[in-house]
Amino acid sequence: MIPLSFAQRRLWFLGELGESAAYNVPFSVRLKGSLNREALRAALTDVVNRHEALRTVFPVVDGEPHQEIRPHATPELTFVTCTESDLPAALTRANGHVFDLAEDLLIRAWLFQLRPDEHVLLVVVHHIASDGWSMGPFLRDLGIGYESRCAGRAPVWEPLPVEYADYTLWQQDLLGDADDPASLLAQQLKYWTGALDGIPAELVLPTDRPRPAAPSGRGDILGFEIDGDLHRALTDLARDTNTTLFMVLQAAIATLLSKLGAGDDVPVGSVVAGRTDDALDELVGFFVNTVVLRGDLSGNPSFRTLLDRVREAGLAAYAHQEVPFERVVEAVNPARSLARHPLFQVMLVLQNNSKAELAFPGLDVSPVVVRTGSCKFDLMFGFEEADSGIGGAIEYATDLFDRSTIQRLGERLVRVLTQVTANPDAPIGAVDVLAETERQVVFERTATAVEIPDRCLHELFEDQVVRTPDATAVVFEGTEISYAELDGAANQLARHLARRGVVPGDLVGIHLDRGHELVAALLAVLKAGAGYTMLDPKFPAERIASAVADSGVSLVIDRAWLESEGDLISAQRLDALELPVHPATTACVMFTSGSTGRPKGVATSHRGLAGTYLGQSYFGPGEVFLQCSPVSWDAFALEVFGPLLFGGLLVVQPGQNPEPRVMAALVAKHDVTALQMSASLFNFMLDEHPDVFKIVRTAMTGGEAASVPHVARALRDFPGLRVINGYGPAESMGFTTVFDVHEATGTSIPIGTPIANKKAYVLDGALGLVPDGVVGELYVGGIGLAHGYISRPGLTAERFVASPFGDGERLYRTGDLVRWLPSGQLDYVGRIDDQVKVRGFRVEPGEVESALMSHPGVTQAAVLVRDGLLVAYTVGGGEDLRDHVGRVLPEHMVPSAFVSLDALPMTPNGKLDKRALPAPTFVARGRDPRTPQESILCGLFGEVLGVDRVGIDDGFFELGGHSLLATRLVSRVRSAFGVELSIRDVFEAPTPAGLAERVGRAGKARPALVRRARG
Amino acid sequence: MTNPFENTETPYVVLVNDENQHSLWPAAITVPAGWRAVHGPDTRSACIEHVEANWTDLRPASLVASMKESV
Repeated sequence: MIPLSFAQRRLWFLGELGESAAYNVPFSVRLKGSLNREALRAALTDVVNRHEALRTVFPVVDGEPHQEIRPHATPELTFVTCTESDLPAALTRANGHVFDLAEDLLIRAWLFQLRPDEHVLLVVVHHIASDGWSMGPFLRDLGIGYESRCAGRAPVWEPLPVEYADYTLWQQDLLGDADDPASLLAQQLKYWTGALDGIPAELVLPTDRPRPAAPSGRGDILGFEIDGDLHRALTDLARDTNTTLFMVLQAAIATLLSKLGAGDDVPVGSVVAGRTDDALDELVGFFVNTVVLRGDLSGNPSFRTLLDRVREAGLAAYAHQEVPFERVVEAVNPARSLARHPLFQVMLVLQNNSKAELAFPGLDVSPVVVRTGSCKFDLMFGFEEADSGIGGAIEYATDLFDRSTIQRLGERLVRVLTQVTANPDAPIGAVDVLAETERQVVFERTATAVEIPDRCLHELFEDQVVRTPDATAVVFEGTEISYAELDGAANQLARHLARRGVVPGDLVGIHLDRGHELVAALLAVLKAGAGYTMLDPKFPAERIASAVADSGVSLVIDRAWLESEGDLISAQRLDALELPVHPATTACVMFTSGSTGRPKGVATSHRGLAGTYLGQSYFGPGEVFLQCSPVSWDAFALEVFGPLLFGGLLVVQPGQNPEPRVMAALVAKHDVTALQMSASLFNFMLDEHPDVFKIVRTAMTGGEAASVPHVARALRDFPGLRVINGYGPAESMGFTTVFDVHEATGTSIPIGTPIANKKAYVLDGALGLVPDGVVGELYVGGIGLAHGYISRPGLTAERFVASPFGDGERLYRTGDLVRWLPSGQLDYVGRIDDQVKVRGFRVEPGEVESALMSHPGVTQAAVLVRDGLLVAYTVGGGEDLRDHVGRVLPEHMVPSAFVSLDALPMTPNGKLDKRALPAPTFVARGRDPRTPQESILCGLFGEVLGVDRVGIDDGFFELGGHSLLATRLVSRVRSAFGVELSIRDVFEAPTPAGLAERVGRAGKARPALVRRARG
Repeated sequence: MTNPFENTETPYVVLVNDENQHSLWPAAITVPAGWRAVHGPDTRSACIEHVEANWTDLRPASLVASMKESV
């Protein structure tokens, strides 16, 4: 029995996976003139009987396929009458014929008669029996056969030196045994495993849709042209660089795909004829082999340097082309998936087979294109040189790409080819794939200039005091104060601050619980010309001390200071100081997590703050804002100035963190119209306090990825509600891009476009604009941009960088990966670095790791987010680790779980192997419940935390709890026991046993929230 | 994707604009309008050191000038 060749075995295997016509090779010609049908039929049979490969079938014996050569065979030729307009579909349909490899003759032909003297011949051969090269001998023999049969005789042709089956056995001998290290097979495999080490499992392509788990195999093809001038330039460049046209095309495609997000390691597939012996030239059969050509674009080389690399890699690959591709795949063993082609997903073909032409005596023969409707790769770039110009075609998987995307891809490739031939010494990063029109569109999206007054925050507030002196400015725990009263109090304190030596340009710390005084203090600091920094009373003393020391704060306003200075303050005059303060003066410093273990203070001007609220579509008169965000957030300023610059009402929530139940009550009591929440909080409010959204008119969410189902539900259930998804780092004063959500579908909610006077650019690794749909890093700028990180000029110069577009402007590089959607909105994709968001809080794992490492027992530490929870992995440490980090880090940065390991797992190249870190197991260790109350509480803990069994001594936070889940627990306790616990209770007595005691003591729950009648 | 400001192997320059704001900048990329190079090409860390040593006041130059006037 004759075994299969290696290549045949791969196609046979693919055939076993599912019936498909993907590997049909069609060939079609138009025949004008008087056709002798019977001669054609006879000639086809003659050719099949000349070439064994065309009459070989592949039956399976004992589970193994083998080649069975039929002694004689007559291929089927179907006559069809057809109109010109029906022809393309008829050709595609015929080419969709599925061969049974075990039974069928793997060649079929159709003759479509369009007119009495005009026919189209379609010959379809399964790839297992032929390849591109085979067309030459096949058509030559068919022509000879037809001519002979027309003359009424059998054709006479040169006998073939060998047949395909001979080749199969010869190939096996040549390659030898893989187990023999001296064999050609073993040596070439050794080369390939080295050359393809670390190859990307999947190339990132600019697809329109995610890759389906089970690809349909459907494809389409689109042609494009490279004109004669560019053709000449390409061949000249190839000659100058000692490369080939193929290599130039390969390097250009790699450059293009890299520009479109594929990274700097771009493998493409290529075919080699596989006819390594002259004796094979005249044979029809499947000889072609596939090789992987890996393009190394690292370090932003010039195109000339890239060509050098491509040539070296290509020559080495061709020197090892005998080993069948399938053996290479087995040896390299990449992560396999039926959803994609292994080792490469993009194929490149330059047709240089000697022109296969059919010569039929008495007939005018011209080629016909057959749309196969299938594809073998995600993308296949095909080129064919003409006398002047190159014909290009891209075959693409319609699962992944739209036709318009492929059209643009072809245009972009021509643009790349034009640039690299014009200037081969420019770095490839400088290659521009955008059309001028696309570039204009990008700049139009950031053309957001709106005229606004260039005034300080406190001046804008004072203007408002003049307009509405008697309107209520702030309400806190039932006490209301008017704009005039707030202004007076702030003026008194400002005058006192000035007497205490505060001068413009200073920085004053505010370390107060929320209330009227906090708001007045904030305005007073600004009126004194200083900037404020909010010191969250909930933060550990050490962190506050470090913030004060870092920022050079000249004075801290806290409860004790206010009490000791109280008489002096109230003795001050009520009118304004009228200090000249420049709008570029620092108005606030916000501390945010720093990767090196030290928080960094973002210093922002009056202009940056005011510009975030003025001239925007989502702020205006008559709004009632609830201030519930932590005071250290950028959202705090938004909640304070959002109302106070416009005559609105500021409702201040007691406590340091947003408390959903309190928020809901305040919204109902004061008819709050605008609510700003992290996405987690938004989801929580929607789940637990949906009535809030009957009252609130604008819900702003941001800080982390919004949940599509929640946003969709909010839009559906509350048609009057405006949902705004905002994005923006503290460095750009929070809201920088916003999306007014009208419809929530798909997998994510866009983050929109830049707000008035702010800018957003999506840039690639060479700081060039990326095309729509391609992931790049988001750079933001405009009016909200901070001065920088206080006392950290080096870090500032690293993150606030020169804008490639504006004249002397800076941009903040956010580290956020985004892309422009076809709708012109930005879509958030992920982080470029380790920074994570935990319930909307920005956390640098490095800072948490530093805190862990400061414990004397810890020798190694790693921190990452799993399922929304911060998890610490340490080598060493002890039971007191949680308390230890709790002393230096704010609650949101304290890991929910601590996992002790003997060593941190490392990858072969010495990096932390995150995937090898075990998931934390929240194991209950406590005693079983003793009372029905404890039993119910254990159940509630388990339900809220998603833990199976909870003991009465198990801590809520040790089991993965956090403040929002604590809120949920309190809500469950209320439903179960009808008693009111506070979040504080959960923090103070975080076990079922502890809470059971408090439940026993607690009073009756407050009545359920109902909406008041409107006045 | 990699950020061109994070590669410690490639050379950088230090740019300054009219507001005396400093920016690290990859030496391989054209200096944009409104900026001039004041240090480098040099290693990334040397460029950062230059910034630390020479940019002691993060306030924009126009603000510094206006505050001097008003005193």
